[in-house]
Amino acid sequence: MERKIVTVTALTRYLKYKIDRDEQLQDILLRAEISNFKHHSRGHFYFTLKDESAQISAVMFMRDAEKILFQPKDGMKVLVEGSVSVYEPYGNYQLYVRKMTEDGVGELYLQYEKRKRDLEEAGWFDPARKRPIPMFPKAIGVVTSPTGAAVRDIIRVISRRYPLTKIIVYPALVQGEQAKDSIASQIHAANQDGLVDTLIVGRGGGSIEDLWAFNELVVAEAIRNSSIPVISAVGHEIDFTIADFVADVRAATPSQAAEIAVVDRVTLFERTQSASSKLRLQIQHLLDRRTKQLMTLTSSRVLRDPRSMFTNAHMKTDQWTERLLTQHPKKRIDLDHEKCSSLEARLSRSMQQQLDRSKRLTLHVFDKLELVNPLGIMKRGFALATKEEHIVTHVSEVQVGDTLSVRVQDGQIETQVLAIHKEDSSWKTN
Amino acid sequence: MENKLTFEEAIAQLETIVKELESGQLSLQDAVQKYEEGMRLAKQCTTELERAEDVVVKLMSQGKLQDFDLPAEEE
Repeated sequence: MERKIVTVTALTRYLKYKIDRDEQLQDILLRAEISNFKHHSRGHFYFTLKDESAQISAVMFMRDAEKILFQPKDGMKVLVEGSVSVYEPYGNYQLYVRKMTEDGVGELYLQYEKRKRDLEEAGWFDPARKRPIPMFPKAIGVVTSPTGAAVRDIIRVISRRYPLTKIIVYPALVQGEQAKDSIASQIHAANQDGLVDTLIVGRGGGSIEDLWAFNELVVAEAIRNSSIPVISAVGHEIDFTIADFVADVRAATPSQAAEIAVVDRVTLFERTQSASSKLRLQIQHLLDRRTKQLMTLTSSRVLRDPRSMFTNAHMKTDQWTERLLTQHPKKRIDLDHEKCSSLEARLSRSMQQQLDRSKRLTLHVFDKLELVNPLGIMKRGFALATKEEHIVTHVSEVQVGDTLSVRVQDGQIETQVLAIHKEDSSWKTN
Repeated sequence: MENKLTFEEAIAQLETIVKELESGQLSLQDAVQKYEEGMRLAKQCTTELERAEDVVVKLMSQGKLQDFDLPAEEE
């Protein structure tokens, strides 16, 4: 038996042929972890996908790689879709990835997040762009399915709250491939018709796929370009769509959209009642005020007792007469008299003061005189000698045997000079 | 003449009259006249609100307004 010798190329081609023919290997959905991730300069991704016990090389070409809504990183858990084939130059098999999403996060959710971010950055959600919803709409346009629960809820709520308006239903597909264009074109139609002044755009609850039309750019654009204010009403409270962010007001549900669109007639009824009771109160006040004014006027003293006017005049006359009397000549003379006696009193008072002062002065002088009174000196023991009525002041004035009178404080002593002693000092002073 | 006013216009006018009266600037004659006008508007508003009709619903189909039949409740 002769064995056939093959080339490496032939073998590799054979393996590739075998693998490529296997349907199982052409449509693989794989859960794995990224490692050894490389973002090639031409835009392709080269990386390894692995789990606890095995790994496989993977490549994602630029045309698929650029659709990815997240940045792949080593260690990231992903879901990939692709096929296995052999790369002949290296002789290795690898996974050719067509789609890749983060494991646990839906692809639609990522698209939604990306669009939301892009439009927000472009200013589509700017609060300054939001227009007020008219309080009293003449007609409300509803872009939704004409057979769904949403339209029924909206009609019921508006009928209950404010039947003074009208509703025009713009029927649209709200699910499936054609939904986005259907919704967008009906928003456009309502704007063209110009029959409504508020638009409600929405549908009832569903899965993210069911609600997806309201995340489409064409719907967002239609809402943004609508000249009629738009209330979005998609799904339930927890559902947020791009349409909700672009709309002028987001309602959590279709019923709530109807409540936002029209004011409750009970509120309006109360407003009317409040206004009319204010009217009554004001007119009552006004009439009360005027009545009181009238009563004040009719009860005034002038009208009730005209004589009071004259009483007043009398009183004035009396006052003036009194003032005039003070100016009478006799009054003047009396006044002068009074002045005179006052002056007299002041004069005698000042005279008395003068006398007193003189008296006090005299007494003082007497005191001083007493100090020099010879009798006073004698009281202190001095004596006064006289010869024939002349006061003896020098020894030369007397001779031995002369009779001298010596005066002391209580009498006179007659004496005879027995001797004379002259002191030298006396000579000098004389 | 007042019958041609919409509800919105009527209630707006009513509230304006209330403000005018509250300002106390009106003569007695004007005040009484405003009061009567205000009460007429209030009556008009109340009458309209008390009308218990269902809202008129139309369907826009191929550019034409048609009567709209409310879809039946889902069981």
